[in-house]
Amino acid sequence: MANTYCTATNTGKGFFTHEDRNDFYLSGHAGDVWVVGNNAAGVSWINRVTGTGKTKPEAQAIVDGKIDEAIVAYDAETAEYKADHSRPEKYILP
Amino acid sequence: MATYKGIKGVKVQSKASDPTTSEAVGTVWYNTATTGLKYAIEGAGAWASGGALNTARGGGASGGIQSACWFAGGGPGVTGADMETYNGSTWTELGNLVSGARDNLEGFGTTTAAIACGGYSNPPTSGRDSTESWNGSSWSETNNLLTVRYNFGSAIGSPSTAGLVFGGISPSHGTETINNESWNGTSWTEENNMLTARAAATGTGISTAALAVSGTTTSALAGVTPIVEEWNGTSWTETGDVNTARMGVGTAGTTALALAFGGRQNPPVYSALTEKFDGTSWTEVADLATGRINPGGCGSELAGICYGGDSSTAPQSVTEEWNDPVYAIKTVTVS
Repeated sequence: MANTYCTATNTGKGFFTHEDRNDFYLSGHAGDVWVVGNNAAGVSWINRVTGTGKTKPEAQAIVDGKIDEAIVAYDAETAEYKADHSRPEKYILP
Repeated sequence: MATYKGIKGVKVQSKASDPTTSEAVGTVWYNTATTGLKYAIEGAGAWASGGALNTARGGGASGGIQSACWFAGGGPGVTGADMETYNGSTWTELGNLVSGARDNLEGFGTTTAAIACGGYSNPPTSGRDSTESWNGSSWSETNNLLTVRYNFGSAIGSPSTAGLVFGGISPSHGTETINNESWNGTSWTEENNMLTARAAATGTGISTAALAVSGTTTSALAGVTPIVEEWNGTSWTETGDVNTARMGVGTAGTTALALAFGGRQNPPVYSALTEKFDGTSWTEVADLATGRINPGGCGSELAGICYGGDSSTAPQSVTEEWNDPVYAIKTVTVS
């Protein structure tokens, strides 16, 4: 499996370092979901940031839920707002 | 068999602490404190997390360098008049823009002397020509842009005394504009037009040497273009296209060495892509951790910074710092 999944709060400086980024894949998503390269450095990072491990379906459900909330909020916006912003769309986590 | 002494001329040295990483690249040493054999490497450029903005938003005016930059105004929903400055680890909220909240504005300058201009107020078609000057502690109104515009580009590396803005959407022109204006510290002057009218083309460089990167020719995602134009102080010419067309990227650097990161690409993705420009062509390098459109960006191709922006669900407060190369100390492990 190429990636593993967790939730963790981005604490700012030092949360992930340049060296981390060269050691494993990392991408952040809505709901504090992180997709992490499934190697020793990636697993070590999850422990370092006190991440909570998730399966891919669990992580995807968190992101989908946040996008659903954003869609509801978007649909309630004015026509002027919609003219300048596109409607949120769901996507598949890597 | 080659030995370390044979290659380096010395035996592996014992050190009480690790040496400066950038100076130790290519060497091996024994750290007597941690009792480990170590070596230093020079890795590829990458993004690291920085301090979060106090107010999550995108589309603000930005400028400065990685360790001292600023972000003013922004949205979504024209909510932002806030001015924040970054000291390399923490964002601090300072005085608001005096002409009120506006989104999709632009700017240039430093944390102690900057210009913010244009943008829009509610409703979105109400474009602005307001120009404000920052003196390190407060904003004050100064001479207006000649053309009302929002979602445009600026030479973000310019000082507050000599800037450039270009393109965007101008309600007075009815659509995307090719109009280009320079700032001399006091007033705006119309300059030669861009070649391709577009919105959300982000700029970098200075008033006499700037890039206008990607953007959209139709205000919408369907019109994203990879075109990059270069300004030489007199006229625009086309230079190398970005590999992936996007609108609302962040930028850093000069016409010779630049970065473009994030943005929105079609089919719809809040992009995390980063591309590096060598003066002729663009090469894809390491991605942002968080994809986003309309982030603040500035700095150089070696030390850039990306902050804020909009994503699929909410405005972002996340900051990421780019460094190239990345030096690291590794411990030799034997298994």
